[in-house]
Amino acid sequence: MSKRNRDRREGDERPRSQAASGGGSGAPGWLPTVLAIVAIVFCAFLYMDAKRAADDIKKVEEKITVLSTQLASAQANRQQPAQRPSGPDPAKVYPVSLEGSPTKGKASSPIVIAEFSDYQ
Amino acid sequence: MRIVWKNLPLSFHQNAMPAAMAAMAAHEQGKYWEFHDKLFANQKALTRDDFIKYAKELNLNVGKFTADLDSPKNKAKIEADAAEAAKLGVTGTPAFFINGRFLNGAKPFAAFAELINQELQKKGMPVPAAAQTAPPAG
Repeated sequence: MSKRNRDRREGDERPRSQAASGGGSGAPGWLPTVLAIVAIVFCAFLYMDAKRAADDIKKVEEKITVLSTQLASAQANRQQPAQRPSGPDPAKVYPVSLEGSPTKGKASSPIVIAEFSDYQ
Repeated sequence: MRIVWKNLPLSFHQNAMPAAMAAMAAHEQGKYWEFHDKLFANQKALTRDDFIKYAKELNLNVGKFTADLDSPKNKAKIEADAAEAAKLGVTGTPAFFINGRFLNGAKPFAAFAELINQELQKKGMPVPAAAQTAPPAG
């Protein structure tokens, strides 16, 4: 082995021994940095997780809104035929032509009942 | 009270149109309601021969009655009634308009009484005591 090689090895040796002697209190010098990074990553992970959960809740809420709207309209559709069984509005007054139709009762009667019907 | 008959022969009632024509033929001789009662009493017997038989029973002029069974004028009147029903939105029978207010189907007495009483009250007329309770027998 040449002298130059030996020098380089000694040069390599120096920082390592320095680091070892620098952490004289026990913990290595890089530990706080690593811990800080781990903490940041952990916090970021927690934040992402919370955000994802919030997004999920928002999606579920949106879905519930859509479903309840659909349910309400389905119920309205179902109730409509029951409330208004098609045909004229019972609350309105319709003119019915009496001309040429068979009638019974006094012409001056206050009540006129027009009956649409057939035989059979 | 005044009752007005409006014809609405439903297309799936095969004999409804001829029966309506026969009743209008009786109407020509002033016997609409008598003929109407015959038809209601005999809803299973609604052939042309049956109509002529009922006309005889009611002492109608059978020759005129038979000719009127095919009266284009009466046919036009019946079709006009049916068209009016369609315009009003009436699709089934019986359908009633009590002073123009719609009452659908064969409803119980109370439904008629309620509407009639409302109409009487609107006109400031007294409501008969009998109309507030049960229908008369028969």
